[in-house]
Amino acid sequence: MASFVGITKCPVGVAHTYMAAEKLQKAGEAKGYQVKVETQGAQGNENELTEADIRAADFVVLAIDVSIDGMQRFVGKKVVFATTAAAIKDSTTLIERAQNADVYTGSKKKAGEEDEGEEVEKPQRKQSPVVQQLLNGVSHMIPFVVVGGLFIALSIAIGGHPTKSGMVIPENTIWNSMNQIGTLGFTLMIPILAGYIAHAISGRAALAPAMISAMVANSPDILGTKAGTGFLGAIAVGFAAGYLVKWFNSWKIPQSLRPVMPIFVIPLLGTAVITAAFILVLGGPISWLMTALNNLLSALAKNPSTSIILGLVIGAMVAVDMGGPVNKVAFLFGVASITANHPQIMGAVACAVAVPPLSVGLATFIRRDLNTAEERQAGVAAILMGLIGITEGAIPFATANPKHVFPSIIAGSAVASAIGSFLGITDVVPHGGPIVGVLGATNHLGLFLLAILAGVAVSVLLLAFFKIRRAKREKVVA
Amino acid sequence: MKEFDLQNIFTDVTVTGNKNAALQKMAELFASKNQLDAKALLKGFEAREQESTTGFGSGVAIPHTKIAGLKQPLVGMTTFTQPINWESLDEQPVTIAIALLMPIADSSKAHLSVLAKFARKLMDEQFVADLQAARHQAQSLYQVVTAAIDFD
Repeated sequence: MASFVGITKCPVGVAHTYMAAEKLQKAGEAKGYQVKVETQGAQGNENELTEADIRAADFVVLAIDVSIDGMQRFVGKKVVFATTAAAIKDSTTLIERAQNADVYTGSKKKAGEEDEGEEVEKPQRKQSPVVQQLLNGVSHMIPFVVVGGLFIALSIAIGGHPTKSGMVIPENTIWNSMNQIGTLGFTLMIPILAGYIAHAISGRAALAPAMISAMVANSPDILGTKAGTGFLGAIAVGFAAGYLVKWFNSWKIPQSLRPVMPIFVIPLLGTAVITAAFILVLGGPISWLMTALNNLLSALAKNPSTSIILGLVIGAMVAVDMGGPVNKVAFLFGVASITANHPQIMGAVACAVAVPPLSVGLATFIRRDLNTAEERQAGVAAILMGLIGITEGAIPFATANPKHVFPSIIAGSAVASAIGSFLGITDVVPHGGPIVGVLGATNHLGLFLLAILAGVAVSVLLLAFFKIRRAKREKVVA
Repeated sequence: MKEFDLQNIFTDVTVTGNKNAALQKMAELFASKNQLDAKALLKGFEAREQESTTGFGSGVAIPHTKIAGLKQPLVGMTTFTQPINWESLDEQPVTIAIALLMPIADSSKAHLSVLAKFARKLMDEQFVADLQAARHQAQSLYQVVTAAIDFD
């Protein structure tokens, strides 16, 4: 949904501040915008804009008669400057002007002048370019995750039957087609993420190398491994391709060759270099890592007294790369346990897989004002995916905010698995999430759900804590 | 003393002249009713109008100022028999002036937020239309306003 933010401030701070705010709100909503207006009046600043609000906003409307607090928040946004009177008289025109307003650059403040924080995570007013590039990838990826995830979730929920080889949807049914369509959406999510990270760095020429290389990095056959590199690999590819192409672009090229660079030379060269790097450099280590992890799990599984530790490790592995090689090892280990007639391990996996998407989704309902509209919508989709055991629903959140999301979901998944393991939950279907319990694949539905809930509770608490703490810090700086 | 009281609503006041005459009349009315300094009140109103007009359109103006001798904010209303040229944003003359008077010392947030709510309400076309319809009767004006805003 399109949105904008604004600030109003008048000399006395009693009447016009609020009249202008009200008018902007009404005029904006009439035009279909989501509107948030901060009032800087005699009662202090109210309805303060969060970083998330500003990030999500298409533009900024300032209806101010005197200078305001926190101008630097709007660096890099389209900003229109006006008086409160202008907003009261005709907010509609003001909003139209703002749509094409110039980007505010702010006064140049030297970086590094401020005291060098001892905290690693010093709140930053302005996002670093790396974060902006990452978020460009995430926002392009979210629709694919939502469509893919919901198609898969619905088709499994309605058309799926639990069997020894997983949730099977009978062929030649509409649910089967839907599942395949959803799978395509999920497959595309990887190149889209990599492609638009690279696009944000060096433009169109970087799209092909990034997207093709991301597909390669996610194709076990080409890599010569048992699993692709998942979304973490896609992020690596995106940045690698972006900066590689940026470097190509800095070459001094004869005028006559320039036209063929972006459509021919750069894509070819870029794709060749990055795919070669992934196959030659990363294929081996990934195979080695997967074998090592598998050996670790085997060792833990031999001794019944370490079942809780095994659970913790499996849960953490599920959440750590959500569909990447580490997750695959845990999942395949679970699947193997079914064939070996020892389905407790699959039970532990099944508990963990639901935790990341359920938690990131539920966490958007705590202090909902601190989330962007995009996150709120992706949150609902993530909850649905979590119920069906599709861990990938959490990927957009983890990518956008890794420092907070990864510790939270890894802890929660580990707790869920450990409890599942301790309670001896079994799952005879190679699939996870509440759905397998509801369909009767576990030995005890109540305890199974309890394990999931405990994990979700841990993750949601951590996510909410991180979110609120960050908001508070931003406030202190503002 | 209440923030908004029937005794601070003056309907169908006749003023000959412009905005300054109207402000002077309002200052006198509110000063005598609330034991305030009429001259200081007028000066405050005029200073605010000089920054920018408080006539925000639809025939309504909201002159406001801080004034010594008040313990809490005060809302008063004056309606005019003859529309006053207020140099309003929409260039329409003013028939209703709503005075917002604030104590010099910082008032509590709760009081100020009532005024903020009132200001927001004035952006509601229906509310303004209701005010205009009620402008000849203090009792009806009082009802329109108190129905929309909670004063304590």
